[in-house]
Amino acid sequence: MSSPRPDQAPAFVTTDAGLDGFAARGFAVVPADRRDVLDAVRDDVFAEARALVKYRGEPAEAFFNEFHTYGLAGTELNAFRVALVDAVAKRLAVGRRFFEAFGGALATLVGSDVAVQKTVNLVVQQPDDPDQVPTHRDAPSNSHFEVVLWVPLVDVYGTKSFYLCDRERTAHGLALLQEGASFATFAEHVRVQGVDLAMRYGSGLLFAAGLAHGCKVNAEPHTRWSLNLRYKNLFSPYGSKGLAEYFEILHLSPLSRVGFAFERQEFGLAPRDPR
Amino acid sequence: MKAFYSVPDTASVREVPQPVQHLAIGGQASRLGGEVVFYTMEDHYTLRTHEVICGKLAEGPAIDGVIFYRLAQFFAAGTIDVGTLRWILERGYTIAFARERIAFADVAALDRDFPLLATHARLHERDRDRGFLRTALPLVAAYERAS
Repeated sequence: MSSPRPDQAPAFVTTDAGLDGFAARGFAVVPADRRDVLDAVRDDVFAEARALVKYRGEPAEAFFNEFHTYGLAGTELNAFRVALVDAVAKRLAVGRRFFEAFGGALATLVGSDVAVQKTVNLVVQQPDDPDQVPTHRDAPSNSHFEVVLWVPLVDVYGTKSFYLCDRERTAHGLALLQEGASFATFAEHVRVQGVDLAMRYGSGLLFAAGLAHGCKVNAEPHTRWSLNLRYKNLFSPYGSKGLAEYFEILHLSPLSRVGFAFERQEFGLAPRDPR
Repeated sequence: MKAFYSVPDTASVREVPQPVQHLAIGGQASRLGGEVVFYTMEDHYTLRTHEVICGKLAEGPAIDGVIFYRLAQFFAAGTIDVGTLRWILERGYTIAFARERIAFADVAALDRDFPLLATHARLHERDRDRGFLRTALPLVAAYERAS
């Protein structure tokens, strides 16, 4: 189920109808409600990244897509990634800004009391880099009650993207494991049955944490840049990654603000206007 | 350089050995621009009352704050011990938690993050049976039978 390569006019996935089908598939690709906010985040990542290399003056899209021509590899590439992830996590407030950019879909999925991952994951996948994420599911040991927001900073397709099994195909893979199949068999099922998502920059993929997914070696001529992080309802079940250590509160509903105002008083803290 | 009291969590030493808790607390001290200069631990009988560290702080040691291993050291039956936290802060000591990487400089900061603390305490009690592990067990069992 690979998506077409660029010379085959890839059918870029969008679900302009919003989250129709999410409950059936476990995922949806949605356009950003606030493209200006998404663009500002990408510009900031671009600024942080170009400060870490001998920047040649190209615009953002060319910088990201042709990043492999800077020739970073091995420990040098890893040092670049670590420095950039640190800068993005500390300075760019991606969780809050992506909630603005994709807030309509996220609020529909997780409600008004929202917890967000404290850090953000940044992936730079250069062509032919054998170091990639193997087949896995985030939940368990993460909670099933989390949604992953995966945002490419460039157009992605084929092996420049990543493969994802929908709910039904993931369930079939789990049935194989329950019948005694090896994890290698499960991983091969996911790799063959998974969809290499084709997405334009400007859209985001929302998927349930229990869906199986992974990456192939990027055999396309361009580098993939993507950000991902997790949102959940504040009061939903947590897995191995808990509130405070991994998640922080992003938004409280009016009802919860009133509730915490009363609890503050009950705990002897100063009253606070919940508005 | 700031000086901190370190208080590893007696209740979770079995899961996270004391040397590992010391490393985490030392890292948090470094992030706050300081180092650990003293350490102590609660007795099993003082886990809820915090009598050991409160007794030390009542002597007025020349430190900037106290770093605990985790927030759950102040949880009991699904609630957060705001009273003890406030008692420490009102004596001018910063409070930090290494596992969660959060710090409170004063009572106002504690008040600001009250929803996080109260919710974390509530969820800690509710989710402590770790339902996600139960979910995974049949899969693990099937895998072990096959191997």
